[in-house]
Amino acid sequence: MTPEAAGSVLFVDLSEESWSRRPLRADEVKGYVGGRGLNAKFLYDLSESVQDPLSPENPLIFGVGLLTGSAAPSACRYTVTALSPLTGGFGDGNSGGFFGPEMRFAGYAHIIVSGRARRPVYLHIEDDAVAIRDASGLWGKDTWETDGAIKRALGDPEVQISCIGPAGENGVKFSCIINNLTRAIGRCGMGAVMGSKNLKAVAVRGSGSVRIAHPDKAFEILKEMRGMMAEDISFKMFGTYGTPALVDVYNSRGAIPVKNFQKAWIEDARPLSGDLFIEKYSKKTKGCFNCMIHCSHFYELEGSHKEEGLEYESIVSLGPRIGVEDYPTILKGNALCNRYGLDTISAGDAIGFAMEVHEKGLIPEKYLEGENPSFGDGAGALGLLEKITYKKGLGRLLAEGAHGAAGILGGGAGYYAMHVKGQAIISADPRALRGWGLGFAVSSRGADHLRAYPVVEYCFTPEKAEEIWGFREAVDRSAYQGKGKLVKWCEDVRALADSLGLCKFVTRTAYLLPEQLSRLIEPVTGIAFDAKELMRVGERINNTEKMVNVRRGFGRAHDALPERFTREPIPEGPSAGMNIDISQMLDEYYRERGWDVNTGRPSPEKLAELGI
Amino acid sequence: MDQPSVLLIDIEKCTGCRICENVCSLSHTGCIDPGESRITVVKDEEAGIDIPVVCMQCERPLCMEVCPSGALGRDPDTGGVTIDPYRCIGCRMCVMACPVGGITVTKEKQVKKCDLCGGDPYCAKFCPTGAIVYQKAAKGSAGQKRKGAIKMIHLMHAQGSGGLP
Repeated sequence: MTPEAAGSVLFVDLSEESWSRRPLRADEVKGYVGGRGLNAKFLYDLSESVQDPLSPENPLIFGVGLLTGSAAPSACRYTVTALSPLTGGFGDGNSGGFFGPEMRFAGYAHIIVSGRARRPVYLHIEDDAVAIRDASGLWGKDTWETDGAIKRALGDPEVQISCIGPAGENGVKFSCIINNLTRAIGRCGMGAVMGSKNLKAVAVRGSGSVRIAHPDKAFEILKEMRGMMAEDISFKMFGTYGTPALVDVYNSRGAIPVKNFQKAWIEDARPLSGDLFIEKYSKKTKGCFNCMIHCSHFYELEGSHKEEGLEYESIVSLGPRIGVEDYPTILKGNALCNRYGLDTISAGDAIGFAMEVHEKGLIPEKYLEGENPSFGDGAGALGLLEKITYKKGLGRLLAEGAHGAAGILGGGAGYYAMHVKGQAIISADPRALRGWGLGFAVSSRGADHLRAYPVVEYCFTPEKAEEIWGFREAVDRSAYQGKGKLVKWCEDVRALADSLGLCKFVTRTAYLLPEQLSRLIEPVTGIAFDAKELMRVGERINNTEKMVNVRRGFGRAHDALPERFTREPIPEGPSAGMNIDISQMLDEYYRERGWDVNTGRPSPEKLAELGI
Repeated sequence: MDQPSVLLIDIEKCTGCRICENVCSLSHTGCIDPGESRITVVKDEEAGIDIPVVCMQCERPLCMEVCPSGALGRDPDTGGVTIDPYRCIGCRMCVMACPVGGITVTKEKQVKKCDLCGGDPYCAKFCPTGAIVYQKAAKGSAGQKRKGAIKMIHLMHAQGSGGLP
């Protein structure tokens, strides 16, 4: 396959109700691979004059990875990118399931949506046919109702749909986009951007094929993957328990956030364990397109609901972070977030924040409107999810996210907003995992683990670290030394996974190294990238995203963790006494990146070197 | 004589990943192309049900009976039902007659069906959970019986009836 054959770029202008398309260019593929990377390049090129992320000018960019829909293991992912209403800077989200592959089968690598429709619409794509259809009857419907209604209207149960719920329509800052009912473009409020365009959904159906350059080699890769499934301990863990197993992984390291990060350990985590989830709620395992790991589940909460999913992040955000330690409340919260179209992480975080600042007496009655948010009040939290979605009562304040709400409240509330760049921190306490802390601080989309995803910090041996990076401290979670180097390296390889459309679990430790990725790409696509070239692409992507943030006024001061993590050591548990000061790691990271240590900006030489 | 093998599907084990579709189209066409796959995972996402639909190689194939041109026959090695593309007139009567939806109509209007990959089906080989297996008919039958009885076994254990290993 030539790079040009990897798909088209579709431009849709909702204001003009027009569209056009062109093939990908070879330099785009060689320079940015696809998916997240090329989305970032498009955003950088198209957003210079955009002020407000919720204005019609902000482009909303859907992109599949270069391998999405191909024979590569777990090649199922797509990315949606835009300026984020949550952070004000670079924003994107990434999701699995079956939407991405369908986009590829329809012949599209990227869909760039600009403008704002005069009334609610959805985009319907079937191979070459593109239509902007009326969605007035869908507005107000939740994601499940929307999915079903579009399938019925089109008379096609196989169409793949990426849509928003009422949270996105109402401009909740952390609203997400949902595909396959429960899979989320979760972070950065991409749902709100979609809602601001009056775009309810994108429905895609494709009948095209993805030619595999060397089928025999592709089969060998799949065989290798099958072998790893039987041997690799983390694949076995994810295949059996999915991410709920991580409750024990993080709790045993004293890194699980409790009550808005006041604590990082649960004495008895059995009520939240992966074992309990499997035993009591899971009916079977589920997998995304072409994935052997099947880390997802179909679960049922008797008398309530059944759906696919449940991830560690949702368990902790809708659980311990708000003082809740029972599965039924968490499962109900998860289902509500999926249907309303809320990011479970930020939703739980906003509620946990409200609980803590209310405890401290920092929410005036005019915002509370009779609400009494308190740690452990599961029913109250579920009620708040609805209020946030419809911006009612206290929900109006919390729909801004913890950071936004703290800005409105003032009076010291900001100390309790556990965010970086306005983005809620995920459920791993950075005081206990210092490389992760640096990763949160420098992530281009605000506090997020999946940019660097430095799992190697706790699951590689010092010998392995020495072999790959030439120093052993990379895998000492209490060390500061070497973490700048580690995070830079991890960010560059993770950007590749996101741009290839591969899942972070298949590239977590198995297909991690650029050499391994290189061996995957050529047999499948026929496009050759050597390992060095790939690392350069990863670096280019991270620098491009950084430059979007630089343009939006972000500097070193924004690459910071909440003060709590420096001032308050973890009070108890396996990481008791640990706190984090990222300044030394940050210096090392900037130097490693070739960025100015004082401003955090890429140097002109670095940008020239990368062709940005 | 060698016992013939059959393709057996355990829908409770199917994760819906569609690897079977992908390796099917890849091995037959060199492409990932669901429209060319002889096997299709039909999903009900709300109910969490995934069912791989493929030719079951019937003992009395209605497709073969209904075919006006004698294009459908049997592979002497695998016992699988075959379509002879030279005899096929493209009437798609076989598609209509098939009770399980086991025949694929491709973009080029050709009818194609599972050929058991000549006796070593890729779908079974790459299914990550063993939801699709290709095994001797009698062994498969015993497995199905055990699966059906397993709930009874659990129930008897739970009630303390004992006696079963």
